[in-house]
Amino acid sequence: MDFEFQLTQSDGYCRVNFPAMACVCELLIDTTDPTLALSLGLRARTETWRIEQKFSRYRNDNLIAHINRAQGQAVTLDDETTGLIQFATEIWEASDGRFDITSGLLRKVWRFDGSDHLPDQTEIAALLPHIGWDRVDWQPPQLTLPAGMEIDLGGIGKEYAVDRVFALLQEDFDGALLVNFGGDLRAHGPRTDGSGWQVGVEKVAAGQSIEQLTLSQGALATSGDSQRFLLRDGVRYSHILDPRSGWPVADAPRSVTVIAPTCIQAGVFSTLALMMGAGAEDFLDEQGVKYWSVRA
Amino acid sequence: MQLKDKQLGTRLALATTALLGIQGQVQAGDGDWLVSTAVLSYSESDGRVQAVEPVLNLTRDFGDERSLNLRLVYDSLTGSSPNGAARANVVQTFTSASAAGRKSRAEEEGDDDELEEYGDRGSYSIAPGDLPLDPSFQDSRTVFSAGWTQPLGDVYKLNLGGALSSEGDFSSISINAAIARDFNSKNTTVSLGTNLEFDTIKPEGGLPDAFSSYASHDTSAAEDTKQVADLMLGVTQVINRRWITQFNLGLSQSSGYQSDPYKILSVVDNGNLVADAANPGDYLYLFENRPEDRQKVSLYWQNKVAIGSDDVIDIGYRYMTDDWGVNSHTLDLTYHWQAGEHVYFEPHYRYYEQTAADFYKPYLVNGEDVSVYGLYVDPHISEASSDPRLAAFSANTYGLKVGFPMRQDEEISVRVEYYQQQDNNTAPAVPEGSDLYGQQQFSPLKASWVQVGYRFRW
Repeated sequence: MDFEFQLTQSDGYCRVNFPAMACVCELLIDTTDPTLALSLGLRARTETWRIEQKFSRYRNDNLIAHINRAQGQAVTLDDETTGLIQFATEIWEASDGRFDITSGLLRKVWRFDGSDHLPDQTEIAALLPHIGWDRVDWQPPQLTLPAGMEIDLGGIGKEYAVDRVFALLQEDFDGALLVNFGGDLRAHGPRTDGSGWQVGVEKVAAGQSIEQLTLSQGALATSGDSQRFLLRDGVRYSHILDPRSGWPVADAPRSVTVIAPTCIQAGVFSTLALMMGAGAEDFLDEQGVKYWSVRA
Repeated sequence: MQLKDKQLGTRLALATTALLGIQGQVQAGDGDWLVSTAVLSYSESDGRVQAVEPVLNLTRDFGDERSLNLRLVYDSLTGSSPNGAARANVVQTFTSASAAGRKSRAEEEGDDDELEEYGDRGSYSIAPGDLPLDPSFQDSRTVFSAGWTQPLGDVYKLNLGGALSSEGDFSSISINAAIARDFNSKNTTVSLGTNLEFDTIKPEGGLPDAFSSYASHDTSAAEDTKQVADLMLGVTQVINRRWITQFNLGLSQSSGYQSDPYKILSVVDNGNLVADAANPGDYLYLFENRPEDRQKVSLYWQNKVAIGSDDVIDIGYRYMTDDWGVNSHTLDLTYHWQAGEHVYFEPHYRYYEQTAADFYKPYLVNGEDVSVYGLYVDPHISEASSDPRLAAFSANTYGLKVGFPMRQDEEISVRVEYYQQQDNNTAPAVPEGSDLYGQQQFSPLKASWVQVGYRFRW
């Protein structure tokens, strides 16, 4: 991406776009005042870049890199990181260990490039002793990660950024608002013309139409990706890995989209649903949330 | 495959709240109604008025900025209230014809309930140097009010409401409407409101005629009415994230019966109480009378400033002036100190001062205000009242509220306040050795109250 910031004044609202978190982030602001939209947009971008810089696993100069290189030493975390780790701990407990921020190591052996290359069970078994939140000593705000283990907040980072930016904008803007980071989004409305924001729920499989829905309050997140899988002997291996076995979850939907009050809640629901494999829809029904799942 | 508990959603919501702070949309629905309950216990020093006041307030949010508010207040007042007569160096006996009549009738009929209620009012005596207090003060009041708020079009917000109030000798009905509009990305709100009130005053024994004698209680009407119309213009401005300021201008016009049908004035001649020719041995007391119209203008300026992470300082100033000659200044300071997640303290101080109404008189002077010729009284003035609320005074209120927020929309609080008046009146000189010599005619009031409140979702 070679652009840094874009402000568009549309009919009755302003649109801001900037690149971050491996997507084009978008803000729709229900104002006709482009100066206000500009100032809100720049603040949103600063906050998004800050979160990305701080929590990205692709950098070697940030807090996550520091934690992952601590070699068994305790690291004292700031309030924000403590909050995120504590959140992840709660969800790990509530999900019987399915949601685990130490599972990223499995990517070393699983490469979802559309090929038929499956890792050896020995490779996977060698990693499993370094995976599992129960092996970590977490005494908030002190985190002690055994040597060889790694954490990765990628599973909640983008959704967290959406909620943070949303809250930041709401401090100074009471009007209708949509924060959309590559399909993970949060809305506040209705707009001054009384309408809600039109949101398209992407159907992953070809030939399926995009479903339009009107969102005036709440958040939406999608998990799943049609491009990331392995195919061997007719079995499709999704990129959703169960940290307890080290293997992809069988019979998971291609993608799940969930509506929840906040983006991080929607993200956790959609991620956990995929981990339920064949039981994804039952799980979501039981949670009483509105969702779309795509199979086939 | 199922998770071990179905409470994932709840746990997730709680964890989200912890991570992101309070979320407007996070599982608010413990109950539809926000209920505020409180009991106020009010007590004036020297055995004057005591009151107990339970309050029930219900608010329901219907979404889309529509909400309903219902409020019920019950007051129970007992004790003694100044009857308006002057404090003197002699024993004063107050005998009311109508009450005495009821009392003797009740005695004849053996009506104990009636005796209980009117026994005191028939006749009571006040020792030298004591403030004349009517010991039979007893009343209960019920107020019910309702309000509805909703958006009107895209930029306006409408508020409609009404109230009903009823006590033994007074009933009131009022309706109100207000409209507010946001400007400047909701940083500025302008509102315009009006309130119309219709009161009916129906005192025990009829409305006393102006300057008629307390003992004879002449009356030419059983009841009268009063109408009040208020107009309020307000501007609220967000200065920055930490400072919000509000200006209000209020205009009020009331007309009709404004007097207190139970308040009397002593008649004084050269510092001595004038005798009542109709009742040998008693002194003469005349019923007060106030103007039929009153116009008020008030200005109010309030500032809320956030300090640190959770503290708030609230400073308010109010100026009120009316065509009765009462001008008042109020300065109000509250500091909200969030001492912890589950406790806050709010120290409160208020200063108030007012000038006296033009017709405020601690007593009537014979030959100046009225001329007493035996049984005949000739008033030279059209209005006079010795009601201490129309006198010149200043007052300090000191208070402390302690609140215990338990979770969102659930809180227990206790508030304690102490109020003390200071006399700002210049007492007219009276001859040494006379009935009124050395007696302070304005009795500064001291009062304290405690309020215990509980707020929750239902």
